[in-house]
Amino acid sequence: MEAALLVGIGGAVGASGRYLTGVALDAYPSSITTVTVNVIGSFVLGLLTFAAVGSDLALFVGVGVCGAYTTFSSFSFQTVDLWRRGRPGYAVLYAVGNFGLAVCAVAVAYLLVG
Amino acid sequence: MGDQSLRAHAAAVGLISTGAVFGATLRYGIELVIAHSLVATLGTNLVGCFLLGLLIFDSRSDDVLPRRLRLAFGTGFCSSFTTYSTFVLDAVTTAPALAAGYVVTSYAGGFAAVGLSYIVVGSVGTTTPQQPAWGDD
Repeated sequence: MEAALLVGIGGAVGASGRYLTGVALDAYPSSITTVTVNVIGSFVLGLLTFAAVGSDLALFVGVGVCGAYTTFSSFSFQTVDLWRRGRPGYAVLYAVGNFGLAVCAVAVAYLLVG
Repeated sequence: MGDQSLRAHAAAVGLISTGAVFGATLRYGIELVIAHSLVATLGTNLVGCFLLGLLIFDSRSDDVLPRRLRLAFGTGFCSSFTTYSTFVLDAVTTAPALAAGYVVTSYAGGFAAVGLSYIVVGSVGTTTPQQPAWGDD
């Protein structure tokens, strides 16, 4: 029960953070917000994972905040949308870029604390 | 940021947080039940893609669902139910062959789930979802 509470509150913090990141990046397309949160969230989860933090912190920040701050559904929707609206090149770049940049962020996290 | 937009953002954060509590907790619960992280994350990600697709394509079609519901259920629930960080961490810490299959399956499945939501909204609604002009979203 306590674990669910940590994850739930962390989720609310992460999702609100994702929304506010979008507000801060208002001048750019929403796909820029998504790639930004996905890369930052993957970096932070990488730090927690490689530093082997305690279970409460892993639940609150890792599963809750990072899990909710990053998003797979918006990413998938935006990729399909780019493709359908006649920008297949951007769609491929976006799909590959999200993964590539997130993996780089995880690699940096590993170099820092792994 | 004026008072007006500050209030609007505060209301949005309230709605999104409410949905996110359920989304993140349900994702965690499914991880506990399935116990295999790759399978659990793949499942939640694909279901979340389908549900978010329904919401957004509805907004471009009959628009029967109110904007507040999109904030709570889309930006809040679906986007917190699905996750990219665990997806990437699992991919880089899994054996390369399995990781490649996992990434391809997640991507292809996510796109297919969005496509399926488009078909569902198009067949249930009275109009096919329209494409907004660039810059409208």
